[in-house]
Amino acid sequence: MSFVGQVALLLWKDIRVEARAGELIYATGLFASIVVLLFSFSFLGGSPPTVEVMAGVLWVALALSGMLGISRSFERERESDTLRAILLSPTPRAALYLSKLLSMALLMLIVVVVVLPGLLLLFGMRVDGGEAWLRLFALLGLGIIGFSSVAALFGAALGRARVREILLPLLVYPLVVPVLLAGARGTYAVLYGTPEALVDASRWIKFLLAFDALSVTCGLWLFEPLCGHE
Amino acid sequence: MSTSQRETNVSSITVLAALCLLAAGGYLIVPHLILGAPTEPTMGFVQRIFYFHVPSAWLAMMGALTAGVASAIYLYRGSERADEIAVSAAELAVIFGLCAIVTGPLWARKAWGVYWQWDVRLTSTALLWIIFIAYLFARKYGGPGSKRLAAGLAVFGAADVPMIYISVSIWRTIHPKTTVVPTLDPGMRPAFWLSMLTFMFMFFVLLGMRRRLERLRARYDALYLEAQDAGLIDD
Amino acid sequence: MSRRTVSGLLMMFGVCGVLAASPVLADEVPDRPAAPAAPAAATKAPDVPTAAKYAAPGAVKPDAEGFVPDSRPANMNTVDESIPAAPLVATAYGFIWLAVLGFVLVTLQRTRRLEQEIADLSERINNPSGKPAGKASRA
Repeated sequence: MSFVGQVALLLWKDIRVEARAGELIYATGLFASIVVLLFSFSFLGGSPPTVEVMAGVLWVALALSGMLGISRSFERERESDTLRAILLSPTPRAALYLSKLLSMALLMLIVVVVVLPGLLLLFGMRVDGGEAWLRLFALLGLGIIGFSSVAALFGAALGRARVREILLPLLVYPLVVPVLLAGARGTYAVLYGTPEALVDASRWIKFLLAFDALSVTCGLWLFEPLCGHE
Repeated sequence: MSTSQRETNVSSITVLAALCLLAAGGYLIVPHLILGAPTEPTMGFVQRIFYFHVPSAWLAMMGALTAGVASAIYLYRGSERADEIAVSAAELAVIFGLCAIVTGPLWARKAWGVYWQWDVRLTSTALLWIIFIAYLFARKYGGPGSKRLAAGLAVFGAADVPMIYISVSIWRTIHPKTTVVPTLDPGMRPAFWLSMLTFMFMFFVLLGMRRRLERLRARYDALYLEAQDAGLIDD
Repeated sequence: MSRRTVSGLLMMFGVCGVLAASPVLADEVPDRPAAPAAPAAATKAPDVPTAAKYAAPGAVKPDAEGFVPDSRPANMNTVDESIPAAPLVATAYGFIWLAVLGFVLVTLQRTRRLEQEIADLSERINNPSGKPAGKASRA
């Protein structure tokens, strides 16, 4: 089977498991909406929220909900020991890493689907024009990949650590700060909307591209040493 | 203790002692040089913090890079020596990073009016610091395989260092550019470079000390296992 | 596809990514025409920019080489004269001494304790008889 085929098969396995259980999608989606609600209570009491606030809320909600979903996903894998089973098979490690990355990314996409409308409705966020939307989606897409690349690596690597529930966020969040930074600043530029701002957003998109390239490469190189020795 | 081990101890202690003396000498002489250097026109006396803020920051980055490279070697070759160097360098990155993060705002309060400003270099440096604190945390609480986990984190973190260094040239920020150093006033150069040299000696001294602690720990672990095998310890 | 091929491809991808973010390909890194003024005070209406980054030029003039800083509060052009400099410099210097000395002392203490434990353990291994087995502590 080709490399891409293996990645697709592993990814499909994750999707089918989740489709049957459903727990992860609903729980993560619900958590994401609760986070948006919490933020709306905090910020919408007095004067109307600024564009910076909206950008920040989007990315923090993404980070929090994403972490929850990813954490739970790996917990479930550990419970049924499926990760070790796959590691024992002759699947190339790179395929396993990429499939994990993509399934985490899909999970975070669900979070976006919940959070973005929440912001549009509750916060009155406005994105003007097709170009702005395009940039917003690029930021979100690249941001999700960056976040997932780090989380997939360390989620799989944590194995049987004693305090893994607290350790995963502690390891992943510092490393994905550049993603959150670029995402929030880029989103702010997109929401602001002027042509110069959109040019600025493109700069942040390029930054995210560079970061994603770096982190996916690092993840591929590190996956075998960190996880392959179970 | 075998003869070769004893010899290694002696020679490394000699090197450490020599570096120690140099560092101590540096620490005594450099303040005079710093006070004697010309006063920077715009910022005045507070600019003298630059003489130890910049070396601290550079050494934090050097510690981070060392830890990253050593971690990569540990992950791919399984070399325990590399792991010892990695953890020592990581601790030093945290210590010197702390120095940079404390001295920077002290300078900034007077020169800029605020303690902190979210520009790229400050953000990246704070990030580096937090990453290596997480490294130490992962090593302590990571359970089995914590060394590998932490090593993975260090490799990622070390990639942050070039980003810090080039960040100032790519993003126009308020932080003084890297090119400030080559264009220093000639009167400031001896003080600066000697300060830098002193800090570097200090770095290698501390690295050596900390590595020795790690090697002792490895020896202790080996002895412990031996004692367990001999049934001397009921565990 | 072998692992080496995948890695090679991704390295290339990585290099391209870094190039994409570098000034070589980026067309907007050189001087932005708009000049930023003070950044956020957080309570402004959504359609007024909080950092006047995209506002019309005028607030802060670019310097000789056209450098316009990305982030700078309004009062950063002048040094704050009300605070005496000497205590700051002394505190900074003192802090570094404290940090380095603290590290040295803690490391020395741990080293000494570990050497003691090694000596104890070696002693017990070499003289196994006549000593009751007890728990050795891990340093």
